[in-house]
Amino acid sequence: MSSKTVTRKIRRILIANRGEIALRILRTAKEMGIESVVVYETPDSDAYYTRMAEEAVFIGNGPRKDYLDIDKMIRVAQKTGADAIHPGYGFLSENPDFAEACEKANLIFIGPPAGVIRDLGDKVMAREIALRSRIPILAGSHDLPVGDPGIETAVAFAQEHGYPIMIKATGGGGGRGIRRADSDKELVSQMRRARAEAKSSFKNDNVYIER
Amino acid sequence: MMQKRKTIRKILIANRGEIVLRVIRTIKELGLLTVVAYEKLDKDAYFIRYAEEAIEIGEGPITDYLDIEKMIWAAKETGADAIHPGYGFLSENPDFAEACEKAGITFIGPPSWVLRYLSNKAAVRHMVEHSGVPTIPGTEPLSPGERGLMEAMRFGKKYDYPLMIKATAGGGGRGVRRIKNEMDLMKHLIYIRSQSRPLWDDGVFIEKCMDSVRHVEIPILADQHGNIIHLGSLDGSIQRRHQKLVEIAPANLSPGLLDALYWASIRAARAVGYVNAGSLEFLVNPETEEFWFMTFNRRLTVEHPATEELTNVDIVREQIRIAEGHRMRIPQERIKLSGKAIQVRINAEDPLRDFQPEGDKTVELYLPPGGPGIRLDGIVFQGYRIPAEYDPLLVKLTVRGYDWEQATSRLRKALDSFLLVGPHTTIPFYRAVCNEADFRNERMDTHYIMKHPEIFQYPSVADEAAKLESFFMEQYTAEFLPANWL
Repeated sequence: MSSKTVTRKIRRILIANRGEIALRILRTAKEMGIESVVVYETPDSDAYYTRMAEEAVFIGNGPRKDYLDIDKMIRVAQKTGADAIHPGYGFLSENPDFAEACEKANLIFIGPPAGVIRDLGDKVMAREIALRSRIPILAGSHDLPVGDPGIETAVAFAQEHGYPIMIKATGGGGGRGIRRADSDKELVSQMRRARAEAKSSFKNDNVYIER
Repeated sequence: MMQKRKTIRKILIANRGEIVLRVIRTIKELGLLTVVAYEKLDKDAYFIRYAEEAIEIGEGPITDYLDIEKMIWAAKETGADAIHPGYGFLSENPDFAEACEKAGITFIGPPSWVLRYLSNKAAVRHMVEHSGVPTIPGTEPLSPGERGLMEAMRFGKKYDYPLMIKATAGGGGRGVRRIKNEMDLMKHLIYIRSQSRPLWDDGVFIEKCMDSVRHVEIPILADQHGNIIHLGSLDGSIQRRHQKLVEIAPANLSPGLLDALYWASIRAARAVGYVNAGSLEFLVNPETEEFWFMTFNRRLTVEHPATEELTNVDIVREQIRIAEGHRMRIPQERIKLSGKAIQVRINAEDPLRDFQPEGDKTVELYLPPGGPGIRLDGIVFQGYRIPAEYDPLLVKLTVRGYDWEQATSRLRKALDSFLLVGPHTTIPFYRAVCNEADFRNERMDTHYIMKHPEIFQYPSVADEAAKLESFFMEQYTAEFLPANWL
């Protein structure tokens, strides 16, 4: 274990977000004497939060996709001399690739290390971690194999624990990628839909089930 | 004598301005009904819109808010079973409390006999001294004519100058003059006696003037069952003409000294049989740890939001519950003073022109600060026309932080982004105080303003505010402001 603590003074933060949370973050930054850079897409051109920061940078017409653009955020940070990025909530805040990109660019990511975000972002892994820490979790499965073997495992689980059961995208979050099944028949159809949705929303078609 | 337990249903608020809104908020939280009695000039005021009912009591100005009969009539007319008197106006008037009692209306404050006793300054001083608390050396009300002058001069010779000459009918910093020497004393006394103003007519007395002391207040709450608690302390040293400009909770004093102040306050409150909310004011010399009793306020303090933010107690709620006869459910141990709270009074005044009031001006743009630890108690809205007839308080801004450093940064940042366009206000003045070195190091006493004339050297609009202002004026000019403003 390292006995020496190294601290880095943050002088300028890029807030990679919008709306009320951008305002909230920049209020505290001001109190601490730290400068803020905010970003905005076209629909946010007149937003209140853009007026309160030291610098506001236009990042595109959006809508929403520019707030999710990792490369763009890193470039803006570098161009405006920010030494740290606060990701707010939603958008890129729990994206391990973003955290990693910040680390690679020697920008302080104001959040957990990329590795931790990656582990916890995989819900099955997160359940594993909880189990290891002796935190109670709902009865559930690991990633289900694709096709019939997966269905069989799910039906067996439902027989043991009863309906309803929840089918969840392993790479999901924010309440999205969750489907409910109340019978074996529903289980089959919902499973198919859940995988398709997971693949398009989270680029990861893994699903698991929970009580 | 204990009042019977009663359930209050409808409260009439016999006051005006921000305190009315403050009280209404808690009354509504308790699920009770509200009535506001108002003078004609306040007909369009923000604060009366929040009440279920409002009743006009006259043209004023101010005289009707001081009219006991009218207030009782208003309560009876609207079926109110209780009256909250706010602060100032009739809040400490024993005749008003008595009139309420006689009319079967619950007065949300101390009993009339306690108010009557405490309105006698000489009696209070004796009582306090008797309970072992030093009071500021002072005279009884001066005798008329030559005799009074001689009494004053004798006091001056004994206790030395400077002295304070105070009106017996004064309060809240009004009716106070500082006397430098004997010549000054004679001049002032003769002048005061040649004038006939209600403030000075009731008589005057002389007190020793303490320089470079701190002004500390201890808020208390007492129920009808003999339970009395203190709610920490407040430092109101930064004053101008004896009006507090900045209030800080808690006061930065040693624990031993604070304890002594707490116990002195509770002892005094118990000795007089005090009930409901109040506060005791002291002058304190933090170096010698001496303190002297000044006044016993018999009402909610103006700066109670700072106390509330610090202690997380809703004082108005407790006032109502005490008036209903409940036992206070807050033991002293539960009063935790976490961090620091600072309150400033944003008035429609121009500090650069001797705080001249800005009555009759209109608030064109109003965008207050927000975020963690920010509290606003005010009655401003965009388009509000400030009445010249009443006091110029617009909004009280209270910030709360972990410690002095954070609280002052928070205050500075809140003032930087406080957009109030139209009248001159005290906002830039407070910003200058935030940037001043002694204030930042929590060094202050009652002569702070005198010692720091440089705080009046501020630009008329700060850069940040100007930037925000120009943006918002572009946005709103066309849509919201009347054409003739342009």
